[in-house]
Amino acid sequence: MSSNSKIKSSANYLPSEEDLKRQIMLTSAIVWKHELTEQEIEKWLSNFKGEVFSNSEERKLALWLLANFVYYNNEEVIHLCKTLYRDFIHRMLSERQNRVVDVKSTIREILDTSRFYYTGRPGESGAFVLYLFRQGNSLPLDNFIYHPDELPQEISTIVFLDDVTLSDGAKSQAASYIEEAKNKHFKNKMSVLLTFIATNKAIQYLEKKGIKVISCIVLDERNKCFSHESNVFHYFHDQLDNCKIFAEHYGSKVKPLSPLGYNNCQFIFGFFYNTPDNTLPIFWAENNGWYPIIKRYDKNYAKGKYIELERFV
Amino acid sequence: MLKENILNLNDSYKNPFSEYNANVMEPKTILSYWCSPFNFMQFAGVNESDVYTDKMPIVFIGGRGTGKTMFLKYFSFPVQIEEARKIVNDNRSSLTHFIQKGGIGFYLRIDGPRLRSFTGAGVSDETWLSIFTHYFELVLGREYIAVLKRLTEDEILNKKSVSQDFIPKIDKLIGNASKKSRSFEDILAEIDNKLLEVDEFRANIRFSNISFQPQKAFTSESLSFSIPQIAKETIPEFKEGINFIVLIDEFENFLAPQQRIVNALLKFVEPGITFRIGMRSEGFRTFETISKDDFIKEGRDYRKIVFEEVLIKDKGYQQFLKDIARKRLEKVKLFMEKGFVDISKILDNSENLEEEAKLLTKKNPGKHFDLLKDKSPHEIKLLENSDNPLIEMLNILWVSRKVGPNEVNQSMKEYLNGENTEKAKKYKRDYIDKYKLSLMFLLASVYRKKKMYYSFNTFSFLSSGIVGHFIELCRNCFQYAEFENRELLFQKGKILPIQQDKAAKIVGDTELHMIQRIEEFGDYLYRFTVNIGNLFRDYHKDKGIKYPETNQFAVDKGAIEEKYRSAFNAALKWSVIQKKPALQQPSPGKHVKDIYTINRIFAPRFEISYRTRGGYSVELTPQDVKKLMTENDVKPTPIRKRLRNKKNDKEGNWGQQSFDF
Repeated sequence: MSSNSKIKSSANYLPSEEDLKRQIMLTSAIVWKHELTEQEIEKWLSNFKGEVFSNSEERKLALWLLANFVYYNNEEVIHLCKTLYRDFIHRMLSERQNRVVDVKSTIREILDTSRFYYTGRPGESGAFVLYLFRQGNSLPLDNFIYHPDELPQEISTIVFLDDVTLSDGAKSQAASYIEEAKNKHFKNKMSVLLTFIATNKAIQYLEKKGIKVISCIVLDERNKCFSHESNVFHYFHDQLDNCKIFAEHYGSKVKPLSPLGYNNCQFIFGFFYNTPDNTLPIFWAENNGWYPIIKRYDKNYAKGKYIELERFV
Repeated sequence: MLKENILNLNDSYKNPFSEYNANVMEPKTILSYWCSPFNFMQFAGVNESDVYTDKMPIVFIGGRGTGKTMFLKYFSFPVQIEEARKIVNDNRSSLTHFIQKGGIGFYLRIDGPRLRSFTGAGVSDETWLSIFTHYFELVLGREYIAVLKRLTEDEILNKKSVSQDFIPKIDKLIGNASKKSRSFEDILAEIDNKLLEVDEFRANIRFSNISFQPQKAFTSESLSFSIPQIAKETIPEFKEGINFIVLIDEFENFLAPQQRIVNALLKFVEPGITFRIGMRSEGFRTFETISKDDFIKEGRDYRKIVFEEVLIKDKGYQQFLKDIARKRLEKVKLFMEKGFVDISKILDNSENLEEEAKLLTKKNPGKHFDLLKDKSPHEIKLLENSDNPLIEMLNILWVSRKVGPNEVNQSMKEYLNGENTEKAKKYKRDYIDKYKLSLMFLLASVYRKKKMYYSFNTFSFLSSGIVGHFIELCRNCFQYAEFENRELLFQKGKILPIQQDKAAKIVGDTELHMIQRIEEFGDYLYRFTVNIGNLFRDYHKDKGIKYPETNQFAVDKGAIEEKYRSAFNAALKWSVIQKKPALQQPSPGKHVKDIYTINRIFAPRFEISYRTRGGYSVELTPQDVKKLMTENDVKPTPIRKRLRNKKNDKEGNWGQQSFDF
């Protein structure tokens, strides 16, 4: 896009760059635990070269998105783990209703007949979340599955852990993992999925498949960055369309097939250990010379990639 | 890359200035942050040991953030027992600590909403007075008992004498009819029940017509003086000269009738019991005691120490701030290991105005010569000093005061060559002693840029004797440094002037907006501050620098209309303005008057000087004060016009001057 044909964004209605940076600085100190620095931000801003709007307007739009980015630090993830565990116990107790005579012994019974397991493959976030979940709730190792084929007979419930469950239908990774695990190891067992963040659609889809879902945070249209109900543009609704054009333009440079995130999810959140690909790629992509502001560790399923290690062989 | 950086970060780093509210600090934290102001400053002849031993009550007056709570809490039992533990090994020996100190501090703070609930609801003032007396006695009594319980449990006091002699007498005092032997827990429970009676009455009286009928009512002194008396009679350890020091914080929150109750206690303190009161300026609502015929008088019944006054005028203040900062910096492992514990080195001790001026004029050097449009290029050439725009500004000033360019050039040269001539001396006096900072403000104004506020010296001035302001300035600039130039902070222990400047401006802005939140007169005070700040700014932009760095005013407070006088008092109470320590003669032939300064924390907001030079005070009439409080955007007459209107107003006539709006 030539500079003459740049769209007027009127991003000057947004808070000033100085104010946005200060807001990000405060968020960095409290939430990001100082992981964001101005240098990092400047490097990231250098990705935006004034291809859609003027340089200063693009900087403001980018800073606005960053100021609205939701970052879950270590403490918050541990807190989510605790909340999930409490919600799980609560749901199991409430499903027993009249059968609960003594809460303590019922909880013990729930734990004795349940085992926690990860979704996905070893090394993926599900396994890491399972580790944090055990730590955060001080659960004994015996409550976790190490040999899925040697499960004691009395185990009736398999509790799967994952951080995000956002897609439904054929794109639902949680559904395919859990079904695969069920067919392979856990036939006739009840499946429960504990997940930090889920969408309503994903929950409905999994529940239809007989998987109970417990989630701390349920996302809806308000959490979709560029939806008309977006929380991000609640006060600056006029900026929504321009910001979408901006994010889509640069997003398509780094992720042409999903410029606004996998499955067009348009989310703007991440965890201290990883960022979901449903989040806008302008935050995490690092191809084509793009400098990310937050790291995403891609799943690398292609065996061929290991060829890069041949020099060590 | 962000994640890779994280691996290299020193995870132990935490902003050393992030904790600053003594109200929520644990005793250990208070102890670890404590810096004795007595080590650095003279508190009207009061030293640290006087806090425990001086029989006369002492009232500590200071604005929000001056450190009153920290001060009072430091002397309280929970902090002192921690200090004792640091010094002595066994509990019993802790007694020596208190004997050496000469007393035990009992800290009391009753919050405003609670105090205000002892009024209205159709109950007469006299009845509320009795109920509050009863309540106050119980609250203080409870504090005594709780501390004595802890002392006994820790075997600092002899358990036997306490249980055999002290407890039965206290039991009787609080009205326990049962003959069963009781414990501290029982007594505390009994007091709690009695306090609950008061709480229930306070709650229910708003909804029903009930009367307060306690099982046993307590009058003034019945617990506050009797419990220490009984302790001294029955517990051998208290016979060794341990005083009971009642530390009352936020006394300004007490309503007038409630202050009368405490005033009476101040007036009639008994041997071994005395009071240390913390309050804001103008915090005394009344000097009356319970008996309306009697009142307390400074000097006779209590001593007064004004924190801000001491902190502003005492040279030890900067050393005190350095010590406060050092304690905090030492807590950060990174700084401790690298020896970055001197705040004056981290921020740099003082400004470099010459460098700042060069930076400011970099893009358009020489623009300031536009001020001399009638001078020829040759004359301008004589006034130039490309290395130092401030020198050039002084030259411009001299020329505007009708000194010939050649003479200016000669004086400048002699000064720069270090010659011992009259011209060089006068030039130096004007540059170094008189105008340098003013020239910087003027230069910034010419370039339509903002003067920067940085360096330890500037921060100490900006803090206006309020330690909390200094901590807040540091907290913000460490936050900026951490965000914008972490490497410099972590590796070299330095914070750039630009980051310090941002912090100063943010803190100034925040403090200014806080004024609006002041419950009573907040709007008046905000308007007054903005208007007077803008007026002072006008003086700083005066090209003739007739009155350099003007930021103080004189007013006859007593003549202000009552409503606005109350607002004026509120401004003092909240340290929006500060009274200069002594009455001053504003100008020859005029009566001495109280001189006030705007709190210097607002200086960056108005781009005015962070220090008060004195000399010239703007005189406000009572009508001016009203106008400044009630009207938005009061536009003063342009200063040049004002100055033109003043006949015989020669340079150096450092008088007080009224101004027209």
